[in-house]
Order: sequence, then C-alpha cells, then structure tokens
Amino acid sequence: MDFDKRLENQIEKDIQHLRRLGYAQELYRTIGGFSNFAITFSVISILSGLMTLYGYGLGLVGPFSIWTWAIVGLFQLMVALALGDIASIYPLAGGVYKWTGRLGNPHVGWFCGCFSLLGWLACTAGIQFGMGIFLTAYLGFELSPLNILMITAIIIIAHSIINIFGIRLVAKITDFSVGVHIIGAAVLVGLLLVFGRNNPLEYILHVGNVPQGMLLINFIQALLMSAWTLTAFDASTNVSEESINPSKVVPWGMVFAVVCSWVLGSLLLLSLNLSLPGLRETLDSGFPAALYVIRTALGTTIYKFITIFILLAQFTAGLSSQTVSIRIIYAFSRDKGLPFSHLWKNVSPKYSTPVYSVLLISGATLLLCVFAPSLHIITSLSTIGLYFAYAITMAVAISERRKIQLNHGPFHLGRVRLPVQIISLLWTIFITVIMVVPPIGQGGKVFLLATVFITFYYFAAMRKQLGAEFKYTLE
Amino acid sequence: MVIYVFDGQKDKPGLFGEIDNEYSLNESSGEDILITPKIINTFLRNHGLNKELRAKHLFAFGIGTVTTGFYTQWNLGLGTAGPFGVLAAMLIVFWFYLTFFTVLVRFSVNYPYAGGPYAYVRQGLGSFGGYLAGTATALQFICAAALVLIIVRKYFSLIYPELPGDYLALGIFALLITIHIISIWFSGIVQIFLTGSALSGIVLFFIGSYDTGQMNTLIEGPLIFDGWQGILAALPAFMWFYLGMEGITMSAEETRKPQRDLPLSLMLGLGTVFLLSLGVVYFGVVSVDGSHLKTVDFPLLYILSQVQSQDKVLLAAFGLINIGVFFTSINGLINGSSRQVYALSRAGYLPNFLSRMRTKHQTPFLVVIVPGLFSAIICFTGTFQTVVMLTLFSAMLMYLLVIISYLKISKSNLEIPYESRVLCHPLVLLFNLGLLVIGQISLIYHYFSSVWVILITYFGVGLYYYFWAGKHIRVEAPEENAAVSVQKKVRIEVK
Repeated sequence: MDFDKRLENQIEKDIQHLRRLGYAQELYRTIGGFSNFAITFSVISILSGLMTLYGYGLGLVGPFSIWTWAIVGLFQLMVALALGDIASIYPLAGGVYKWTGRLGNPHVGWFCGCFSLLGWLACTAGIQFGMGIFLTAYLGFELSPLNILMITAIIIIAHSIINIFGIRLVAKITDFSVGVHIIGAAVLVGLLLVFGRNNPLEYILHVGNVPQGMLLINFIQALLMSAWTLTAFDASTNVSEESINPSKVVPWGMVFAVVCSWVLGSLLLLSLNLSLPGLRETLDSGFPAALYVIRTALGTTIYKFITIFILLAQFTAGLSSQTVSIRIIYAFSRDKGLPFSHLWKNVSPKYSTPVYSVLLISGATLLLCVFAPSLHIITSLSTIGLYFAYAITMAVAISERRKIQLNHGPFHLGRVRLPVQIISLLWTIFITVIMVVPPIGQGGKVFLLATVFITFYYFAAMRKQLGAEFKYTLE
Repeated sequence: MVIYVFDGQKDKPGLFGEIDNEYSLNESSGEDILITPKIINTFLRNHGLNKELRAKHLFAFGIGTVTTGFYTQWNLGLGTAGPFGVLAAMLIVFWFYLTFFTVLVRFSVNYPYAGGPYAYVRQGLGSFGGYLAGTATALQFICAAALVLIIVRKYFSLIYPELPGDYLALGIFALLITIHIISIWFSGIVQIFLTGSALSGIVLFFIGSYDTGQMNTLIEGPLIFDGWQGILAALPAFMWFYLGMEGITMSAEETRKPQRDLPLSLMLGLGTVFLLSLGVVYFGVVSVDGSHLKTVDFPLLYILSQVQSQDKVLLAAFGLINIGVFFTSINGLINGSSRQVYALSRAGYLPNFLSRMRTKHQTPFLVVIVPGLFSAIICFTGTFQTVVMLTLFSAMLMYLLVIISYLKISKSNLEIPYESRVLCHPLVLLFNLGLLVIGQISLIYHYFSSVWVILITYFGVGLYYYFWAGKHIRVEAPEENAAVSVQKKVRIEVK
C-alpha cells in the first residue's frame, strides 16, 4: 500500500476515534509527528526561557543553578510520561482540561482547565515580556519599564496579527522554530565552549555569596528558572484534533521535546557558566545576564549575530504559546466554559481564526505585563498555573487509574504507571507550593486572587451548567 | 492500452547534421518497435529515484551550491570595472540568469527528469544535442567540484598550515559522497544545515562590516574603469554568484511536487542570491581599499580581518565557517554531477552499469562515486586556470544549447506557470545568446594557453558519441521517451 493510501486510512481511523469521543472532525488533520514535536519544543524554548531567567538563577545560587535544570529535567520527564499516557487515550484539543473532565468529572475538569489557562496566559506574557527586555537591550535603548513595555506591546501586536491573518504561517514558523532553536543553541554552545571559556569545570559547583543557611532556600527559589522553562509541554495536546495518529505522535512528541530540551539546555547552561566573566560583574552590569556573558565572551559582532537567533527563538516561542492559549480558549468556549463563550468561539469565516479569542489573549497578556511588577512574578504565576493543573490531572489519573488501564492507548506506561504518576503528583504539588508559600513564593497573592475569582464564578455561573448541559456536551 | 509506435520516418537531423535515434532503433531488442507503458513502467521501477525532496531541500541545494562564490573569486571583477561598472556587470549577469532561469522553469515543469539540461536540449536539438548538453553539464559540475577542492586545499594551506589540508579536504569530500549514497533525503538535510551555516556566515559578515564602511569610497576615483571593456571583463567574476544553481533542475525526479517546487526554488534562490550578492559587494567595496581587495583569495575573511582586526573570536569563527561553505558547494555539486551522469547512463549514452541502484533507498551509487573520483583526480592534476576555463566553457556551452533548444521548440505552446512573455521573448534570448558567444570568446581570449584542454576534451566527447554512445541509446529512458513521443512518434490507441 502506498504512502498516501496509508495516510488516508490513518486519518479515517483518527476521525472515527474522535467521533467515538463525542466530537465531529472540524479541523484539518495535517500535523505530522515532527510538527507535533516542533510545537512542544518551541514552546519549551530553551533559548527563550533559560536565557531570560538565567540571571535570576545566577543571582540566587551562582553557577550552581545549573543543578536545578538537572533535577527539574528528571521530574518533568516523569510528568511528560504520565501525561502522555493519558494523551494517548484522549487525543482532544483542550489537553488537561478535557482529560480531567473525562477521567474524573466536568467540575474538576473545569477547574483544571481554568488553572491551565491561567498558566498559559502568564506563560505567553512571560515569553513576550522576556523578549521585550532582550530586544530593548539589543536595540540599544535604556532598559526602563516604559521602553520595555512599549517593545513588548509591539511584540504582542505582531503575534496577534500573525494569529489572525496568517494561521498557515503559524505552522511554518513553528517548524522553522525548531531549526532556529537547534542551530542557535548548537552554535552558541560551540562558540562559548571553544572561544569563550573562562572557568574550569568545577565552577559549576560555585554558589556565589549566599548567606549562611540560605543555600537550600535560595536553591529552591532558583528552581523557578528551570521549572518555568521546562514546562508547557502539553502544547502539542492542544493540536491533537489536527494531528495525524495523535494517540501515538502527541505523547512521543512531548517526551522527545522534553528530552531534547533537557540535553540542549544542560549544554547551554554549562557553556554560559564556563564563560562567565565574573559573577558580581555580570549581575551588576545592568544588562540581561545571558546577553552580557555572550557579549563579553564572544565579542560584539558575534553577540549581535547570535542574539538574532535568541530573539527569533523568543518570537516563535511567544507565537506558539499564544496560539496554544487561543486553542484552549476556543476549546473552553466551545463547551460554554467561559463567560461570553459565544464570542470567543466565534471563528472568522474570512480568516478561519477565532479573532475575538486572539484579541482576548492579547489584551490579557498586555494587562499582565502592565500590572506585574517584574518578570519573576509573571513567570511564577505561569509556573503555578501550569503545575497546579498538572497536579490536578495527576490526582485524577491516580484515582481513576483502572479507567486508564482498561482503555490505554498505543503509548502506555504499563506496570510503572502508578509509581510514575505518584512521583509526578508529588513533584507538581511541591513546585506549586514553593511558588505560592512565602518566603520563596512570589506569586501567592495573585494566585489567591485568581483562585477566589475562579471559585466565585464557579458557584455563580458554572456549577449548575456543569451539572447538566456541560456534562452532556462532554459525553 | 496506449502503444507508441514509430511512424517510420527517420529522426530529424541533430545539431550537427547526423541522423538521431537511427542506432537506437537497431539496438533495442523489440522495444524499438513498440514502447508500451508497461515497458516504461518496468524501466522506471528499476531506474526510478525516490521522491523525497521538498522545496526547502531544493532551495538549499541551489543556494548552497553557489555559496562559495560569495566567499571567493567575485572580487576579481573589482579590478577592471570600477564601482558603477561593477554594479552594471552584476545587473547584466543577474538579467542573464533571470531570463535563463525563466527558460529553465518552463522546461523543468514540462520535463521533470533527472537529466535536466540534457532532457531539455534533447527535445529541441536531437540526441547529439542532448548528449552534448548533458556532458557539458556533467563536466561543469565535476570541474566545479574539483575547483572548490583546489580552493579548499589553498585555504587550508593559507589559514591552517599546521593541519593536513589535503587529507582533510579529501576526507570530508569522501564523507559527503557517502552521505549522498546513503540517501538523498539525508543529503538534503545535511545541505540545509550547511547552507544555513553558510548564509549565517554572510549575515555575520554584514554585521561585522556594516558600520565600518565609508560611502565616499564609492565616489572617489573613476566610477567606471576601462569603459564597457571593463564591464565585460568583470562579467565572468560575477557569474560565480550563480554558477551551478541550475543543478536544482536535476533533482526533479526526486521532488515530491516538481511542478510547484522547482519553479519556486529556482526563482526564490535567484532572488536571494541577487540580494546577497549586492550586499556582499557593497560592504566589500565600501569597507576596504578596492585595489587590495581584488588581489586577495578570500575577500570576506580579508575584509573582516581589516575592519575587525581586534575581534579574534569573530575571525576564528568566520574562518571555520569558510570551510563549511566550501563543502556546502561541494555537496550541491555532487548532487548535480551525479544526477546528470545518472541520466546519461540510464539513457545509454554512458555505460549502463553506472546507473545501478542501491535497492534499499533507490539511490544510484556509482554515479556518485565515479564523478567524485574524477573531481578528486582533476583537483590534484589540473591547474587552477585550466579547471576554471573548463568549468566556465562547459557552463556557457550548456546555457547556449538550452536557449537554442528553447527557441526551436517554443512554438509548441508549453503550458507553464510563472509565465513571462518578456523574459522569454525570442529577442531577449537572442541577446543572451550574443552575450554567451561574447563570453566564450572572451574566455578563450583570456585563457588562450589552456584552450587545448577544451579542444581535446570536447573532441573526445564527440568521438565517444560517434563510436559508442550514439549506438546504445535506450528509448525507454524518460528523457528519450518524452522527446520521441513529442516529436517523432505517433500515438495509436489499441483496444
């Protein structure tokens, strides 16, 4: 049987599977295995996340912050495996929100979806804000809040325009993004290790001037750098309904993306730390730490060149993140899970994109950037939202493990399912708690406010609806 | 069932007057009378290439092949023309390639075969014309690969004298040949990566030199040296920016959507090269003294070493990128020469065993190895001047034949996208023919001492056709079949 015929048969099988899950095929199934991996890989975006928060980790525990990456990478691989196990059963747009709704009940699903949406919103804002800082520095403007905000606003507008008018372009940019990340990271790591090395290998054990007894607390706080970067790998699940053979490619896409990012990220942090001109000097430079290291170690011309890759990576990551957020809003409003759902699910017949959803996401991310006092707050909020949603998913998965066992898809964990799920649950709860509880947590207040609002809205509008209409829609 | 039957008429006279296909009729066993679709399908099953390439691979093969032209040779054109003479020469070369590529686009979507120029010329000028265009193309690509290898050896001896340059050059060359044998898809991926690095190098050059240039360098001194003679003399130097990009057409059989991807990659590649060449020449001219620049072997490295002499990391990194650039070109040239030799061998002009395939990935291996060996031998035995002469002469001969063939069959109303009547107008093409003739004369005049190489080579090519190639043509080959079915046969529907 030739390739096209096999492809047609597979797509037909996927459509049947979707129908069995209660939905009609509305979106085109065109995304293959590589593109699926590409979406997750570019949202994780080591060139965006790690470079943005490198200075944050450095300020807390010096070059020792590289070890946060090792720890987070290991546990996040567990989470990716556990989520992949469920994604293989429910290849639906909406990701964790749909899974928990189906494994548990619509009420839990709705709560999980709200926190996931909050996390994705903040994730998008964090990437865009981070790029705003880098671009301001790159263009030679003063790093004042107003300048950064204006540049960030331009980035948000650019992302929104692409998402409204060029949905086909988004797919191409996402594929291109993988090349940018891999080539950019490989070139940067190679140049830093060959030409920029200033420190011996033991330097990665150096913790800087941490006050007595504060090492553990600082180290836990520094986990944010890695925890924020190596997350959001449920991105590819949101395009499940557009993927070919999603039960297989979505879980593998997530796992491969985490492993690749883990390896490349380790090399990137290692090369930056070994090229560090001086800890104090870097932190006091008034420049983004990662860019300062590159400029000092490799000279101005190469710095200007390599930063183009970093900015491109940040731009594509922000675009992918915004696209995923739009899909979540769309999936949510399709089930009437949001106020004014009829507006957000409206797809423009001219551009085939949910224009109002794009505007909602753009407005929300811009507001977050305006009112959040720093990048750490935005990234903390994103980490809390995403990890808490994972925690809810893991808890539901453990309680409904028999359901998973009986219906497992082509990607499944078999006997190690329960241990992996328990480790993932404990890990995600741990990260959520440390991001919320002072003195380490900085996003507690905002998170509390969001939780109060979500709960209030649940009791005011959703409880009844979830009990009747919403449940019907899901099943 | 459709059966193609000879109409009993002999072929029209070929380019040099002999009767084409006469021998093929006698040589083929039975298939000379009836070439059924079944025979053609069986032939293609045994000799067909895997369709694994997309526009991005073609673009990388096209741009990658010519990247060496940005890093070397173009500066030779500065000496004779002056700043505005250089611009005029660049525009003339671009105009020529724009019209030539438009012709190639027209041909390539109608005859998407591995033979490329051989297939196109075969349609209009008969089998000897096709054979001549094919061998000229193969020679162009084989010699160009040898030329780049010579440049690599020179580069190693100048920049990294402590390294065993010859062994390194041959080692990497052998590695690229191996990759090509493994699979064309793999080779395409490698080419994308290499081309990305080469283009990054050009961007790095722009960043390193953009704020160091002096605009007034452009208007100091005469704007055009030596008048139109200076411009004419500068033309061959700027041909290096584009020479070999036509190799894209020879990947037609391995392209998933040739009707879309071939025109797209050819025209996008051409536009990209033109813009990059303007940038490279502009920053080159305004950054350093032109009288020195025209004498150096590696102009971009030289310019950066002058304007960023303090930045050791930049120079070291750029030096490494240069090596990658040369092998990007070589990888593209391997693709071009192998596919052309493959098509000639498949059609019987060259020994048939050359087109033997690896069964797993349907990749021909001997057509990669044998031209590669020739390139390596030429690199170590030929002089730079001789190899340049043979490359340029072969390229211009092929261009000439393709344009003549196009003019001859242009009345057949080929249906082609990206149609441009202006660019393919006979007067425009006749003007181009004039340019090519002047170019050939100018080449012979400048390298007169090496003319004997051309004479001997092409005399050998002619003799080989007369005694062997012309007697072994296989009409089942797609290029031959297309030509025969269009021009020399009638179609009979048999129920």
